[in-house]
Amino acid sequence: MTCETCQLACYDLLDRSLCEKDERDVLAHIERCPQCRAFLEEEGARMRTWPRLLGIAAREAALPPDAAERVAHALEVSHVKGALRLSKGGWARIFQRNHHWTALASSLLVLAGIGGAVLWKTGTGMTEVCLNRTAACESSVPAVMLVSQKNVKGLDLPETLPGTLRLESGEIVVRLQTGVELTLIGPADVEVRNGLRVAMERGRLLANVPHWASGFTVRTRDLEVCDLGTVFSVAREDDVSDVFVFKGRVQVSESGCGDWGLETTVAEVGICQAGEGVRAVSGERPAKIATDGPEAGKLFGSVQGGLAVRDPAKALATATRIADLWAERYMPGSNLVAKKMRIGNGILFQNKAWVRASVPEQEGNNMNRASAAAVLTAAVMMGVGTTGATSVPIQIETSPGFSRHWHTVFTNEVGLKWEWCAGATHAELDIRGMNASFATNFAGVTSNYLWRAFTTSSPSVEDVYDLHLTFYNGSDAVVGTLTSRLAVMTAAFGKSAVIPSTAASGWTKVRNDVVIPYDATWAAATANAASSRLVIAKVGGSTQTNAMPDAAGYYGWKLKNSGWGYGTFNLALTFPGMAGEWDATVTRPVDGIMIRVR
Amino acid sequence: MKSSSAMNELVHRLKQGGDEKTVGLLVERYGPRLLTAATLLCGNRTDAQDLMIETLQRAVRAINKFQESSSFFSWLYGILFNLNRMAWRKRVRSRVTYTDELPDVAEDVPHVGNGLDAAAAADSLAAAVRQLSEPLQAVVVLRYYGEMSIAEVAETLKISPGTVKSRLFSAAARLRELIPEEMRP
Repeated sequence: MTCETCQLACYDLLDRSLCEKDERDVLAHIERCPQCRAFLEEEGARMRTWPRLLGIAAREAALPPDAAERVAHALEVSHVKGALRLSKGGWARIFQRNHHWTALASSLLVLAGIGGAVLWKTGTGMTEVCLNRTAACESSVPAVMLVSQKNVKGLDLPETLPGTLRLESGEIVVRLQTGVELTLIGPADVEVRNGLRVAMERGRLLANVPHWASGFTVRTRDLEVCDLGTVFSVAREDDVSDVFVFKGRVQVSESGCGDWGLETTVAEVGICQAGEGVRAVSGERPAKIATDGPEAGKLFGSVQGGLAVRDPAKALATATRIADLWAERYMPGSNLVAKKMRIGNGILFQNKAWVRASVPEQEGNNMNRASAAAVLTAAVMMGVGTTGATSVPIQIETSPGFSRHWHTVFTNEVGLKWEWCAGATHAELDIRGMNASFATNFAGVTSNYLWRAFTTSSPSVEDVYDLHLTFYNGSDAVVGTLTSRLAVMTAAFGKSAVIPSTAASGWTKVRNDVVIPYDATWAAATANAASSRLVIAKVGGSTQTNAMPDAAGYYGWKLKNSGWGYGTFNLALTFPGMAGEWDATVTRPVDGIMIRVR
Repeated sequence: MKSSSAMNELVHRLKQGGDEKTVGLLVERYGPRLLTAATLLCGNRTDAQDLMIETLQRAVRAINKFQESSSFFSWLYGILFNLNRMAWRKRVRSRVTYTDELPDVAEDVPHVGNGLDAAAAADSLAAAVRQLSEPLQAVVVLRYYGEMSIAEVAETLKISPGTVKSRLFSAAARLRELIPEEMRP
């Protein structure tokens, strides 16, 4: 293979369009030829950097305001041509048209080759053309075009640039003239300076930047983000700025500390790839964060690339959670954690309890602070995988005397609802499970929350969640708490009721971390029990005793990444003070994650 | 207008005769990208806007020639490069000098990468590309701005993949001479 052949083949190599043999030959040549290797590296660099540079080079390109009107001229010509074709096609059809006389005359004249008549002829089409022009003028591309909106209140779009975009609440998607699409979740104040630059005072934003708009920049008080062809989010709330990249790369710089509008010299924070971001708290140095650990990796997997654009609210919430995880792990106790934990993570909530349309919202489900027991009401989806499943709001009571505080869910959408206790101005909901946990804040006006525990429509992994809702007054003092627990099932237990038998299918089809049900009413002898105890003993290993304060519920046995490892486990479930014991043997094989009960 | 079904709907409406709303959508969806390519080719705003407008006008008039199995963007690019080729030939013959150059670099364009001024590097690269002959410009813009594969460039320009590669090879050699050393990849 000559060097010239090899270098030409480098284009195909980079396109991944070479067959296996040719690819081997080219790589073998490159291995021993420094010139061709240099060419390949150079071409690779061109492909990486030039798209962005060429996009920046044309940054001032702006559609002329009369673009649509001018293009609409082509319609005029098309219509005339259409008339000409018609005239050739059949006279009878011409007479059926509104302008048949003029069309006929013009067609005849044109066919006769009288050029001057063409002008007269086109005059017949002018009425239509002029109407088109007027309409086209009105449809010229606006500076900020509203593409879609959801539950929007208080929206103010700028008509000219620079201008300010304000959104009180809800979610909108707007498109700038450069093709940049911004999803904004209110409350948000964004100054759109031009098609390639915006400044965000507050709010949450997801930017989908086409490659030709590389260089698009978002600025907050703390950070400046320059796009390098990508999808990224920026959130600015309560003195915290978050940047996260879902696709491509961005250049993040530290904004100056001057007053708003006085943008001082910036210092680079660094280039962030997909899965990375930056968190900045006002007055402190920004920290670069990254998707780190299995939980964060899983979260990022659900929103990376184009997935973020499909569900911006979820993407923003996930980005916040990934940053939280990083901060908790590497900077515990810092403002990066403490302040952020008080900020809503963006998961959607509604002012009305979520129920399926087929089921009317029931009364009496509100969380009642006056009752002795703390109650969370969940609109619970029953029947995973079944079409037309209905939602039944069910009270979940945590009273020890009434052990119905548990409930299982089989969906990724759990509607939560509560009443506010006296003196509370804001509240924080903290949900912790075996595989994930997150917190979100509510203002006093919110008493419903739609919690999406999973990205898929039905859970792919079982889990047990503890829910804590803490109420604070204006001085941030705790004035009340509500708790509940949910077991999220993938149907192994959920489809069939829990059967008090070790031979029941519910005990044999569990994966990953294990959700173990327990219920004193399985046997008449233990029906009046007040508490439960589960002892897990690894054969040849350690023993763990778990005392549960209730007589029925689910225990989340975290097997993965918790030091248990593989092996055989003996489980013994007893109800203190009552006779009888349930036991089972669980094997976790090395070659898989399926757990079988013998 | 993101999905191909939206594109198909747009093309269908244009084939039915079109209306001002359809044209508005066409301009909104495809105008910015064509305009950027046109700006890279022409180097001055007025000509770029004219080239973009004329491309879309031609597309509207010739919409019935568009085969819906192929990429609409590639088809539009093909029209744009054909028009640019004709304009380039005229320019070469008449030696027109343009004064409507691109504006100076905006002050707020951020630094990117290894400290090199991204805007300056971008302008330098674009200026070098404009010094290429039209055939080389076309492959460079489609390959590096349009981020097309060799096969896609070949289809858009109706030339063979081998020709695309040899033109890219020639363009790379020429650009090496035109771009300042510190700005080369």
